[in-house]
Amino acid sequence: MMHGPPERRRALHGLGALLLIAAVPPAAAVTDADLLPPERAFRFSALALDAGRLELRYTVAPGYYLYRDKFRFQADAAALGTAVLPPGQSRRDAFFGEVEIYRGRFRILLPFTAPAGVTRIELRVLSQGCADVGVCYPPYEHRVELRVRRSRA
Amino acid sequence: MSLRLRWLAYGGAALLAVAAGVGTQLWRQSGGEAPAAAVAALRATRLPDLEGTPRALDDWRGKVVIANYWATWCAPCREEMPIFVKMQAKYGDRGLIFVGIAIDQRAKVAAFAKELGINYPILIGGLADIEATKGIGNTVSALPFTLIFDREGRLVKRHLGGLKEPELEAIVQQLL
Repeated sequence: MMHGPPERRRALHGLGALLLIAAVPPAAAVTDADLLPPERAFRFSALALDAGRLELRYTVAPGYYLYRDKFRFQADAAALGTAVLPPGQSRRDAFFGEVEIYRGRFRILLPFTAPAGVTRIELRVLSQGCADVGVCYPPYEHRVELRVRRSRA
Repeated sequence: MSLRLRWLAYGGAALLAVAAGVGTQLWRQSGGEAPAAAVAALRATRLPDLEGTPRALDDWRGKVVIANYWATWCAPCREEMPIFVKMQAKYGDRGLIFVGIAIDQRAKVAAFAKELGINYPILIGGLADIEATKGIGNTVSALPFTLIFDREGRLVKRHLGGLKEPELEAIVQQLL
């Protein structure tokens, strides 16, 4: 409740109106200030679960998504098996038809075999995603060096 | 300080903050203050067109140039491109030229250009070329990203995200 003199109330109303105007963006354009850089929009970490499996963990920021079919994996010093990708959400795209995307948190299991004596693997994961506001990021490469766990015989 | 003066001071500070916010927003969209050296470097960068001939934006000096960074894997990019085709046909003879800079593979770009009937030059760039737009306001290197230059080669607008036809038409008519 406001109990001040009328001129102050008028001034406050004027200010309120100005703030309202300012809250409406001048155009529907996206500014880069509204967007996260890809490494923050698509947070990534990885670890070796055991001597034969890597686990990749993603946290996709709200308002962003990754395409399920755009992942590519490469490693030095190890042979990678077929990645186990969880089912994604279905998205109808005007150009690409029915596509699967990931939002929020998800994990990818990646089997590997490394020769005896290898203790570290450099993993490179390529992914590609977009923001709901209507922009996409070029394919982004996460690089991580992982210590290989040797299970006890 | 009287109560009224204090309110005036608050109001003044709030107004300044609002003005600064709006100013920053407009600056980001207008592109007027992009570093001249970064803009000059970008305009001089030579990239192969679909026939393999190296071209730079500077080759089209004297025309209103709309440089559009895009890719076939980018749905919002594909969505706005029919507008460019239409406007190129409508205003091309008055001195408007769109230049598509594809961050993509040549074969995919050529197939899509044929499918859409693209009637303006397409250059093939790489990740380094979209990275280079960081210096002129596209700090997250996202697509689509569009730069509009006047006939003197001055950057008059930069736009991240898809463009709408009425908005683009108004700018073009002003510059031609």
